[in-house]
Amino acid sequence: MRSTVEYMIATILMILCVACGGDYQSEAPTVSSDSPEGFIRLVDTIFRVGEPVHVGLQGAGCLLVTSSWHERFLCPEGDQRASFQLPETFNQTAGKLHLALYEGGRLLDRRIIAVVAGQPYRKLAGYLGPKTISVDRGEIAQLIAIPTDRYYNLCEDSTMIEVTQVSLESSQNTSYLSTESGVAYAYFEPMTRAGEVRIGAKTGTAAMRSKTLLYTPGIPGRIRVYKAEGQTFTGEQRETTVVTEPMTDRFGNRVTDGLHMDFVVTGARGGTSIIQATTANGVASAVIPNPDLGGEITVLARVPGGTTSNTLAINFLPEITDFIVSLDPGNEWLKIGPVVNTLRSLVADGTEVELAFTIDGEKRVRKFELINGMLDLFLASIPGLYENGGCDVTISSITKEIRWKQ
Amino acid sequence: MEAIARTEKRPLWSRILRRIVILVAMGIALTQVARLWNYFNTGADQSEILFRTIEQIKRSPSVVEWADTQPEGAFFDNYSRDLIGERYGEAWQAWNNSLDMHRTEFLRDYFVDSLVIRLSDIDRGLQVRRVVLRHHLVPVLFSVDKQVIVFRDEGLDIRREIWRDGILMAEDREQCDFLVVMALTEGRWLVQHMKKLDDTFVPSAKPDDWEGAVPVWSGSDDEQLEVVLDAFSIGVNYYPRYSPWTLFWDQYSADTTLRDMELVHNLGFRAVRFFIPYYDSRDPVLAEKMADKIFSFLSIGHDAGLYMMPTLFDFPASYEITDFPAFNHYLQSVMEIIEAFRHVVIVDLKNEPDLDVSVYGNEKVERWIDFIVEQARVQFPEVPLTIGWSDPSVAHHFAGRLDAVSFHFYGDADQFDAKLSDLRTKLDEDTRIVLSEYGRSTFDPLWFPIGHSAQDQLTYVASIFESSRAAGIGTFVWCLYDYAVMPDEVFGWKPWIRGPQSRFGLVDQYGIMKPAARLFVD
Repeated sequence: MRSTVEYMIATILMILCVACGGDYQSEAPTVSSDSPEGFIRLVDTIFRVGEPVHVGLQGAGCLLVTSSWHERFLCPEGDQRASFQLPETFNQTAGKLHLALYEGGRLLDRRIIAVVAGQPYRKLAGYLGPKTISVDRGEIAQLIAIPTDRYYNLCEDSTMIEVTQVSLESSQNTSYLSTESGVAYAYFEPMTRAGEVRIGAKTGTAAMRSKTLLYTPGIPGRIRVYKAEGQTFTGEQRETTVVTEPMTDRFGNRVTDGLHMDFVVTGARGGTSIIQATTANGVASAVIPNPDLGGEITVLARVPGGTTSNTLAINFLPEITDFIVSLDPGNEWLKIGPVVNTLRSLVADGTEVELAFTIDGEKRVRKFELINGMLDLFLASIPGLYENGGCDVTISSITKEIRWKQ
Repeated sequence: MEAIARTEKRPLWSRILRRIVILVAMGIALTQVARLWNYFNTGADQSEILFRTIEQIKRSPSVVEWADTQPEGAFFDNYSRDLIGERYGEAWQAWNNSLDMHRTEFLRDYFVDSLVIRLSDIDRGLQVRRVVLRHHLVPVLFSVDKQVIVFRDEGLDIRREIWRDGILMAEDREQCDFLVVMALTEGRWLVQHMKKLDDTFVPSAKPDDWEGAVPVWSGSDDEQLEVVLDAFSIGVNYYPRYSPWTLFWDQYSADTTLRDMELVHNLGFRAVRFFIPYYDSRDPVLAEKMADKIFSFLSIGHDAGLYMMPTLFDFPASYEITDFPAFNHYLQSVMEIIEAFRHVVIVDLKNEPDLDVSVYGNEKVERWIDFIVEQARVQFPEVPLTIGWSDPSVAHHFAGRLDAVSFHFYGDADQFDAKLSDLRTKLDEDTRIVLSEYGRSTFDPLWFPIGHSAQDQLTYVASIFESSRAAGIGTFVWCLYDYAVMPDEVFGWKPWIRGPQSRFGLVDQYGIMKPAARLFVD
């Protein structure tokens, strides 16, 4: 602010000089000191970056020029001492230029020149972060714009910056910022609509490369689960799919893909398991292996730390209600099947058959598998089977007792 | 045949002598060739220089402290403060390094390209040595994603020397503020923008102008200071008998200190002057070890009822401005320990700096003293300070900024009063004076014509001691023990130097008291 005022004063002085017919950069010294051995003559004490800075030296000594970044010792000789131009690097650096005239290590004179930063030039540096915020978590994004002149000097404070937001629906919002401590910043708070917003900023002829702020949907506002299929039967090789209805956040935005969800499955006997799933197109699904035994299980879906769905109850019917088993007269062969399920078709190959019997008071179980719904067992090959009066045959929780024929 | 005849005619001793001369000459020639070979094969290669520079940047001793305020935007947590502050301090070190060494390749690790281009535009004909001791950072804005920060570096105190062709062209101090923007770029915090907000250059002043510039200590322990400095105060300089000078802290033993402090007390002394050599306090392991040892020594001295006068910066590495941050770090480290002990009545900042003038030049030595005194005053305003000059004729320097004038005297006893009177004429009337070293060696072998006996020592010490009492100044005799071991790096190989230096003690190397020791017992 101070530099701006100084520049304005300098401009007025320049105009006055020109109006009076003088050259404001004439070699006539306007500022000088009284040192008898040597002093610095200045035509002007305020410049804008890029303008040539002329300095004159009177008497002895070399000039040490110091800017914010650089130091140079300049020892012009002869006629050049009266007026010479400082190297370009010094008029490209905004801030104070310190001029010190030294002779044999002694300081003879010291002067200051102010170099005022230029107007914002071409590229306006901007930082946007975070680049993605959720509509419902209270997150905010921030745009920081840093205007610089053509020599990368920070522009003076109070530089106005125009910020434009354009959403996909082409709605446009423009606001104005003012720089303070070299930067201007704006906050972007959550909207109710998910989607992209393009953010641009410009000041004078300098523009920022537009940034994209993505508003992501929030967590589901409500979750409902349902069973994807109709009738459900028990059996290890069967599966049941549970699906959520298309989910939206509390503002009606379809939830984002890849949202993590848990399906909590509670069995008929109270055991619980969790199946993890992710959303796609607003829907999440879980495939639940069917239980061996009939009965009711419950399923619910939830977003960890968030919304929980309704509880879905699924009643599993027994796959087999009865089967045929016959023993030959010599008690040598046991014939099981054909075993058909409730849909009146042969049960799947590999369906398990358990043969339970007792030896010396200890219960033994042998397992076999049905093929084409049938199983022929040669009992004589099972040692100890005949020690007691019979055995039990179990398929899918249905047990039949076999007694040896006399 | 004639030549053979001539050779045969030479006497045996002549031939032997000739061969010895030839052998010695060959030996000398070989030694010189070896030295020459060694000269061209030592020194750092490029990778070593690179590594050293990185180390120098990484171990930036500048203190970086954040104001305890929260910026606009995100919460500025301690982790971010430490991380960003460290990077910023290193950035300055890299910048300073580029101005001094003209190595700009390290700038890319700390500055964005546009700044690197600007900072790399240096005048390679100039060597700018610049140091910054402390950065006081005030956070202004910390972006909500913690990727950008804007802060002010306030009250920077930059000391600068500008050299051209080996000649010091200018020397000044600059006080300024910077506005800084840093951003996390590819995992590293880089300086994006820096803007000097305001600056004031202060040309280096002459020592005379400095006097009185900083207020003199007027702590609450003024009485205690008087006690140790007054005529009845009797002190002794101390190194352990078997580990003097550079060996002292390396071989520090609390048991030895305990015995020695008891002896000091029993001999009638009330104060001990001891030395803490300069060490790299930025090395955390070394710093912790030294802190433990100094603490132990001071504690034992305290328990023995003795006042203490530590002497800092013994054997400093240099007087260069670029080492000032390291010196400041050492000063802080040591003074923080000392400060806690109220029986440390005064701190001797430097032992005999006037002897370094011939090597380093008057300006460098005075600038160094100015710097250390100022830092000690500002950071530890309650600790009384002095400097132990080797000669009373120069002891008035910096008197206006110190709490006592301290000097050493080893000259003729009959000149002591005159020297002291001369010093007094250069000082204010109420300036406190302490004679921090005096004594006489009892080294007196047959081959050493200017030796002195133990009786001579008694006479000398008694004379100076009585004169000092009459003049009302405190004294510290050099020293408690004769030393059996003399470090080569301090005294070299010359026996006419090592010998006398090893026999200044009041107690000889076998533990037997010399007559001069009785002087204080009585």
